Amino acid sequence: MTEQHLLEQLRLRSDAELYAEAISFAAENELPDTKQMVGLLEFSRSWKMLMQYVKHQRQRDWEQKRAHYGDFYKKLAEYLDAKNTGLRDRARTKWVFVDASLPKKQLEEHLDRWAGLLAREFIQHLCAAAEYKSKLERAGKAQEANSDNEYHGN
Amino acid sequence: MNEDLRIMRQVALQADAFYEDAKRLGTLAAKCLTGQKRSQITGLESICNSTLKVSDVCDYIKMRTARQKEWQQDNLGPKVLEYIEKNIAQRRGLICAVLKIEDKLKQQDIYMMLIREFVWQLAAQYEFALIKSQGG
Repeated sequence: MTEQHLLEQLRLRSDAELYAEAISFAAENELPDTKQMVGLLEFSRSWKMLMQYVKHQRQRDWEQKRAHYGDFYKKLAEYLDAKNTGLRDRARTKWVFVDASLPKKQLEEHLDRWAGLLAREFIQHLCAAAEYKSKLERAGKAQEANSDNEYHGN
Repeated sequence: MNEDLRIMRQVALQADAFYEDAKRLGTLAAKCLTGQKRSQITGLESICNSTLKVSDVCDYIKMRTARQKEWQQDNLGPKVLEYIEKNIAQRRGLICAVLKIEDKLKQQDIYMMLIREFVWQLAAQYEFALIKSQGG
């Protein structure tokens, strides 16, 4: 597998699978605020940094009104790193981004790189989906409030 | 005719077919973004010309829509996004069926070629509509 081939696979997976998965993830989970999402994008530059950040955020003691943040990071950690079904394992087994015959240390290094690039794509899509969803929801609520005001003659 | 030329011809035919839709959305963009937000359209052109991924274009439109009220006006952002995700995707499917293209990378390239044509037409109409609205 050449570098060129793997980069082509990355852009295909991003469009064909990760984009739709990010939209589903945003729809199915209560999302943190924009600041958190921007932080997530910032840390998605490498697999190790991202996983450390997600783990740290998951274990934080969130105040009551942000209690769902912990769940969000837990689900995200599962999406990325669950055994067999997580992004990292899919990069290895399903999409074959790494050569399974490599020595273990080298294999893990390759996997860090390609799983990191895949995760970066997913997080970018997730951030866009989250902001878009949040804006549309707010716009919908504002429209409802306007309709109510008109109905009540305000 | 080799495959690349056949693809270019099919893309050109589809681009002619969606010209009226691009004009309609370009006029709407001129109304919503006005001349003050020209960089939003040049930004869209720029991302289309620099990326190989459809999802990058869609993410850009989503972010702009979430952050700029002008993209929310008259549902400009959602309308452009829906056009790219549905209408242009269908046209890509048609081209691939006609030319019997099964290679996923080529399909993705054709999708991006169509998007670039569409955004080029939209941007041209945006500029034209702005000049018209200024009485030019």
